[in-house]
Amino acid sequence: MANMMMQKTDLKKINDETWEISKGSRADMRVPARIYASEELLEEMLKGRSIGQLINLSTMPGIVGHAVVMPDAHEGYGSPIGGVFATRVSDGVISPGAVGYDINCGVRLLYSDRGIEEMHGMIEPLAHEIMRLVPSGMGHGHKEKMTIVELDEVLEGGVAERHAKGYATGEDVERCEASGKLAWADAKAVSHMAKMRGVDQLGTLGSGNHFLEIQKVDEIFDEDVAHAFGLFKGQVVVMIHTGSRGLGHQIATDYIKIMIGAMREYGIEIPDRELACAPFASAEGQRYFAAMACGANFAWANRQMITWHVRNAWQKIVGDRNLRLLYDVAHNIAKKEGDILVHRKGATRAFPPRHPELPEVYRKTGQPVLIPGSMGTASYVLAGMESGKDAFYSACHGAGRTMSRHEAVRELSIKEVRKGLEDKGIIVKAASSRGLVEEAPQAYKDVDEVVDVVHRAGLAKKVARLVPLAVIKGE
Amino acid sequence: MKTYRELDHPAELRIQVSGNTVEHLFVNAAEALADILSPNRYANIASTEHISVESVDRDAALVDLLNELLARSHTERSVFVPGSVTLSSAEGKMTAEAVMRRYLIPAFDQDIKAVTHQDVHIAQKDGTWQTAIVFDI
Repeated sequence: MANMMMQKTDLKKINDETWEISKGSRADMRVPARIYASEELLEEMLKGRSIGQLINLSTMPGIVGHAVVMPDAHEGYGSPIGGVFATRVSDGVISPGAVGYDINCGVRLLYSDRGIEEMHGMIEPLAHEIMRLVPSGMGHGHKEKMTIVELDEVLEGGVAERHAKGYATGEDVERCEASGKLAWADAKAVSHMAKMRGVDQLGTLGSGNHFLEIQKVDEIFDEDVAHAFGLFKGQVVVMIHTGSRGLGHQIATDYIKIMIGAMREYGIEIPDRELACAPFASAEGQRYFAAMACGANFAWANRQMITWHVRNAWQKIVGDRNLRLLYDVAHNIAKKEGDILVHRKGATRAFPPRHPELPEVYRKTGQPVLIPGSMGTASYVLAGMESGKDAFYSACHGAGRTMSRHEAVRELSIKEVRKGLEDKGIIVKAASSRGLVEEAPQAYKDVDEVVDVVHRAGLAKKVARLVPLAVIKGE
Repeated sequence: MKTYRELDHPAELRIQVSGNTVEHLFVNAAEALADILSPNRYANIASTEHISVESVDRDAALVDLLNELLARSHTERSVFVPGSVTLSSAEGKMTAEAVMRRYLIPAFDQDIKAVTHQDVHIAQKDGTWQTAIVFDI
């Protein structure tokens, strides 16, 4: 039942970008399921398991509205990647698996005051210096480890703690989602093992699809919003995509185990063990929420430390520290938004104009929404819209994979992947050839199409398109 | 000789492991984890470790054991190759006890964030015990 394959004829077409699976399609669904996709993207989704996983989301106790999936969706574990759902705070559940192992995997964008024409000959040495300063490999942390006391301060303080230590500006704090700190974080809710996996990881990029890119603003779609965001055509910017590293992974592992045990006591049954959950108001639910907040704070502090390294590299090569934060936003997290708990796994929050949680500077424009493309392809900046309400103000988080890593390594050669990037004039700094092949753009959906669906569906509007100048990747 | 077979998955690493007995499957799964993390390891055994996990059932015990090994691999810069695994159940819980040889490693060949419960259903098919396992990478 959990892996029931649907046909397009089983779906109701709401409009060209929105499809619905009715609540009666499967006996255990509590709400309908909604898919944001073009017809072509939908047909790809229907070949895999992401739709079945979306239907599983719709069975979560206390769920409201719809279970939702974004146009970049692909098979995950438990929740599809690109999955969003909300439960009632009062009597609904919280699910660590529906947040993901990489708690607060997310993106931040830094913008300079320089156009590409002012950076002649600087991009390659800048990329080289960044790679030198930012540990990027798997399991590779810093030689120096934090003490547990220092780590606890980061877990509870997030970017504010980094600001107090001199690694962040006041503007960095203001322009980070939640000011870079979830106040209910409690380091006592984080296991010793999770902390040991985090003590040497602060300021590290990680591997897989995590990256750092030096980019250029290639196209402006909305001049007014772009101006408010500080963006202009030809401008050099830096995008950072990473998360909570081993610490977050271990928090998720620990609490999925706890929830599997707890579900029996609460009489909860769900179709997929990876969606193990407990009532949000329960002791287990609250402890996970506090631990998740620690993971989230660590991730924001991590991206802040990488920012500090990037600014150091920028100062050495370019001669100033004029790299400002546009925004930093998570795409794996659970947040209380009003009286609902919104779970986003591979989906980006996209608050509309006038939302009280936005910093003052973005109240008029709506929240910046940062969408990284796959390696070597475009990334996007969008702005949240009121019309995104039905999707709990959410948008996609990237391009979404179409080819497995195994298949990518089988079908593509490192030579052709590197050549493809170099032919576009993209400088590549990667510690591993296999990692480069696994992340080849051919393994991903067309990000332009994915973002166009988000725009047409009214989830967020396009503001700017960014193209890579240099890619820095872990192994 | 590989104790696992790699299967397709759009984003993560999915493998198929098997064993003549359930305990043998656990051993092969742990061997697979070590092999994926680092096929290259120093020749000398750094230590012998006894590792025990308690879980709600057999499927969870496999995932919990592998996650325990993974966590220790990260924090101790080691891989753990199984000598033996013993399963026992009491009062509705499953305990997996493993004797592991610990090897120091220079670096990971492949990073694994976590072992997920996705597709873990240990069952007997064609005379062997089998399951798929999905690693979050």
